[in-house]
Amino acid sequence: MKALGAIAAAGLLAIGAGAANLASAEPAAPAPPPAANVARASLDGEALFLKHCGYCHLAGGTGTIQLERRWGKERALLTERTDIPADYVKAVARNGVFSMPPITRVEVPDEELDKLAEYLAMPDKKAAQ
Amino acid sequence: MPELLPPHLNSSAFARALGAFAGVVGSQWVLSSEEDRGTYIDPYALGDGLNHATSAAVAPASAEEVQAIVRLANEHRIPLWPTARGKNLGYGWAAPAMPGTVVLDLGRMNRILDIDPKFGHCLIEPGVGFYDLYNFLRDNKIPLWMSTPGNAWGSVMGNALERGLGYTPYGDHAAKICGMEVVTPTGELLRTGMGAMDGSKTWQSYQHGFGPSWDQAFVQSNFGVVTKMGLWLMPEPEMTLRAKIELPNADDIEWAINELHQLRLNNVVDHNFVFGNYLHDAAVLSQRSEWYDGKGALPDAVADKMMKHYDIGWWRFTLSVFGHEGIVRAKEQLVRKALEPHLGKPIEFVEWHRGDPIEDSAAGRPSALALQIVNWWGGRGGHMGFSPVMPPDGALAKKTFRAMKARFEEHGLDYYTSFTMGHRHINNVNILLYDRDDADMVSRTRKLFHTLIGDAKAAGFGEYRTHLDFMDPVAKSFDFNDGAMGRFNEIVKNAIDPNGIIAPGKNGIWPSAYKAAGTGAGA
Repeated sequence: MKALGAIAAAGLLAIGAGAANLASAEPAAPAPPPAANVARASLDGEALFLKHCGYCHLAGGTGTIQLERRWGKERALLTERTDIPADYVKAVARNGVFSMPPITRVEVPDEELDKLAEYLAMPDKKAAQ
Repeated sequence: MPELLPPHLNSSAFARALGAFAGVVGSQWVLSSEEDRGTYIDPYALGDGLNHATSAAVAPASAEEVQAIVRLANEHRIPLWPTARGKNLGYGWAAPAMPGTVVLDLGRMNRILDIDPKFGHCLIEPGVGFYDLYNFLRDNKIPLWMSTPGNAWGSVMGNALERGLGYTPYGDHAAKICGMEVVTPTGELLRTGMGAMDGSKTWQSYQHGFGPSWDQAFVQSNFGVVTKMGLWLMPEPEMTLRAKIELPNADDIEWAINELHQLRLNNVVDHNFVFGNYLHDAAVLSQRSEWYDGKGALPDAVADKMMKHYDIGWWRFTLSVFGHEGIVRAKEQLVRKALEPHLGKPIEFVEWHRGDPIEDSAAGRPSALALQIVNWWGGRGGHMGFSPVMPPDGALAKKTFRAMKARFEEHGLDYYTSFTMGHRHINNVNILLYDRDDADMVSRTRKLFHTLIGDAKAAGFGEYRTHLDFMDPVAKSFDFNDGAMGRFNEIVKNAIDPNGIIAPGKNGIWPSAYKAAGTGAGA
C-alpha cells in the first residue's frame, strides 16, 4: 500500500493551522443560561459535515493530510471534491478506510449520513450555501 | 464477521434480550447488523480485533433508559460494555474486553446540563465531546478554559474516566471530576459526593461528600455506568507564556528531567506537559517511507536526518506559564534561571494577554491531528501506548529510555517515546506504531508489549492505563501480597454486580459469572 502514499513534505506550518478554525473567545461575558444543544433536525448537509467530519476533514486536519498524501493536494479537501458519490461517502463512513475509523449509527444516524453524503456528492457545493 | 453471542447464551435467548432492549430504546437504537457490529471493532487493533468483537450495541437516550437496560441485562444475563463516545483510540476504541459483550453506547446522551461561569464547573453527559464543550464555551463567551487531550475527538467524560491527560493546570482530568450520577450494576440511580443529598447546592463544589469518596472508584473500573459528571473548569488567566524548547542531544534528558521536576514540584510550571522524542512530531508530519525503506528499527543516522530537516531536537517539549501578570513574570524568571544555563540561549516565549487572539495563548484547544501518527507505516495503521509511571529522576529516565530504545530495536520497531511531566511522577508513554496488515509486525509488536510489561514490573513500575489486549497482564503486575488489590476489586465487583454484567474484564477485574469465559481460568 506504500505506493499510494504521495510524498508530501508537510511543513511545520500545517500543524499550526490545526483542524479547526476557531475564533478568539471574549472574556468577562455575562453568564448564559444552561446549554441546550442545537436540535439535530435543524442541521443541513454542510452543517452536518462540519459537525461530524470537521474533526479531520477541514484544512490542516488529519484526514485532509492523509488524502493529500495519497491523491495529491487537489483531491485532499472533501469540500472541494466533485467526484465522490454519496454511496461511496456512506460506505467509507460505515466501514472506515486505511486509518479512518468507522462511524457508528449512534454517532451519525442514517438520516444525517444521507444528508451529509448528498452534500459531499454535490459537484458545486458553494452554490448550495 | 461470524455471529457472536455473549457467553452462556443461545441465539434465541439473545434475540429475546435484544427485543426487550428495543422495547426501552426503540428498535433503531439496538444495533446488531454485521455492519453495525463492525463499527465497534477497534480500528487500530493489533490484528483483526475480533478478540474484542461485540455481539450488538444498544444506545439509550437518558439515565432512566440506562437503568431500564441494566435491569433487563440482569434479567437476561447480558454483559454490557459502557462507552461514552467510543474514541478510546490506542486503548481499544469502544470495543469490549470480553467478546460477545453488548456495547452500551451512551453517545446519544450528549447534553451540557450546566455551566457555572462564576464557580468554574460544568455538569455534562457522556456523549459531550471536547469540541462540543469548547465550542459552547466560545460561542457563549464564557471565560472558562478546558483541558484537552492530544486527540480530542472523544468524550470529555470518557477521557476523564480513563485518566486521560491534557496540558493546562487542569490537565489531570480525573482529578478535576466533582460529583457523578451513576447507574449501579443492579439499575439503581445514585449521585456521589455532595450530590448524595437531595436538593444539594454543592454537588460540583466539593469532591468528597460525607463518608467514603466514591468518584474515583468509578474511574477505570466496572462498578457502575456514569450518566452525568461534574468537572471543574479553569478560569481564564490574565496572561500566559508558552515556549517550545528543543534539546539537541539524547543525553540531555538527564539534566532536563531533573530541572523540570523541580519546576513541576514547586508549581512554577503547574501543568502536565509532554517531553517527547523527535518521532513524536516527525510521525505527525511525515511517513516512514519518506525517510527509510529498510527493515528493522529506524537507524539513528536517519533520525538525525529527520531532526535536521525539521530543525527539531532529539527531545522537545512545550512549557507554559498561566496566571496573573505579576505571577507569570516571576515564574518566567524562575524558568529562565533553571533552563537557560543548560540551553545556552534565551527561551523565546509566545506571550498572550486576555483579549489577544486565543491561538497565541496556552489554552487547551481541541485537535484530532495527533491521529496522524497511525499513518506512519502506510496502509491500515495502528498505535498502542505502553505507559509506565516512574519517579521524576533524570538519571533513571536516561537509563530507562536507553533500555526501552534497545527493546524497540530488538523487535524491529521505531522508537517513539515521551515522558509526561506530572506533579510527582513522570509517565513514560511509549507509542508502538504498526501496520495492522503486516502479521509479522503485529506479532513483534505484541511480543514487545509483553516484554515491556515484564521489564517495567522488574524495575518497580506499572502502567497508568492500557489497551484491552493487555489489561489482564498489566493488572497481574500489580501483585503486592499475591495480588491483594485485584482480589479486593473482585470482592467489590461480585458484591455490587452479582450477575457480573457491567464491563466484565475491564482493567482486569473479572466478575465470577464471566471469569472462566473471559480469562480461561477457573472461576
